[in-house]
Amino acid sequence: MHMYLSLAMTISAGIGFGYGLYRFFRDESALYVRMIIFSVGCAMFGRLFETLQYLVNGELGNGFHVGMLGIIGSFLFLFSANFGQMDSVVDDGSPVFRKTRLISLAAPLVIIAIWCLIAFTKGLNKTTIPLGIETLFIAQASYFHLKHLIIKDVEYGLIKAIRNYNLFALIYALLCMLEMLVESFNLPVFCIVIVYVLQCIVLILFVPVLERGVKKWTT
Amino acid sequence: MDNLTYIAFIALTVSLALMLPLMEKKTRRVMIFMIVGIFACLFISEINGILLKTFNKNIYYVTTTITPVTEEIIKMLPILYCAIVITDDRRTLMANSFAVGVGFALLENVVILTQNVESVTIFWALVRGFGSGLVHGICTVMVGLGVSYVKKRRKLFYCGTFALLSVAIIYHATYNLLVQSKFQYVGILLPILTYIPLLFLTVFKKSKTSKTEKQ
Repeated sequence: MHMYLSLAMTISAGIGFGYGLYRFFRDESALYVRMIIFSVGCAMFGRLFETLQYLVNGELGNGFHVGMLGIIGSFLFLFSANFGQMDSVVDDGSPVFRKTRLISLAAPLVIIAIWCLIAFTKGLNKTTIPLGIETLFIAQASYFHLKHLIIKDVEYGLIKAIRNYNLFALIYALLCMLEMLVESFNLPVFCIVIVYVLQCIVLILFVPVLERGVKKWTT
Repeated sequence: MDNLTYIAFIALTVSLALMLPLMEKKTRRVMIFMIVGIFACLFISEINGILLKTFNKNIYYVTTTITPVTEEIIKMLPILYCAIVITDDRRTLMANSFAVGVGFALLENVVILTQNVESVTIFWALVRGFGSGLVHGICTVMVGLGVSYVKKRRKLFYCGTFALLSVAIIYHATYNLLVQSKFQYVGILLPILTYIPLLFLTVFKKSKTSKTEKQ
């Protein structure tokens, strides 16, 4: 079952990535958008590795596997796009945004709390430690997604236009954590399927939602 | 036979190094990076040997999980040095990155050839040439793309390079996983199918740029 779920994720991410390449790589587009498309591509590569691992070996094995780098890389691209490109535009570091910065910490805290739940229950071992590392990357990206979701807009409506995308990215981060949770606690099959299906939907819609927002930048 | 890797390294690098003074500046730089790639392979072969012992000689696990990580990190170092000290021009970095990757694959192929000299065939040579040669080249180019931001945008460089390094590691591991499985033909096709569109895009972009420059 895991192989098929992983395959579904690969295909979904592939659709998202392919759509992104088709829509944004024909002409010069913003690096911010390109990085988000790369993020979906990275998720696709990671899931592809997992699918192939299931296909060849029948299991992923305990502990670290290279597929985890797909999630890490994916969230690094998202983080890099927000931290390296967008954040300096929307937040000048003034005290006006202090409250927003503090509230935004809620997202990484929730994400870290989910991992802590796993770690306290299962203990620190070769499975939970790599998941913890993965969690750190998801947490740092989620901070900026929540921040850009709630921050007061800059004059040109730059951030307002991509709020839906940030919401989607935040949901994606949460779903990745829920995947960890359902896998770690061996929850009923339908829970696993729901989490995977939701991730598939998010991965397919990621780029189109971003595109709708980005279009508003130029109109 | 223990020093076989070193013998191959000396045989390859000495002849290539002797050619350096006769070359033009641009070509020489690419050749130097190719020699660096060969050296990187020599260096990593020692590290991989230690890792193999650590993981109880589980070649399959080490080649699909550990060596893609170590190899990509080692191949990134000369590119990082190039971007910081020599130039961060993207085109130059791409060429140098590919040279490091190809140099790396060169020594790797020679070592594997000498280890399996009785069983290798022309088909094996084609597989290694198109397969691992391209995989190492493509992976290093991916990382080189991120490294090119080292001076321009620091924030992008730190996260972007690590993200691209992750993609390169996954790509490398996927290739290693496939070539050791019953789907080895898919593994061989993977780098070729990646290289052709990349080549197409690069040539298309180059011709577009030169057209614009002419106008």
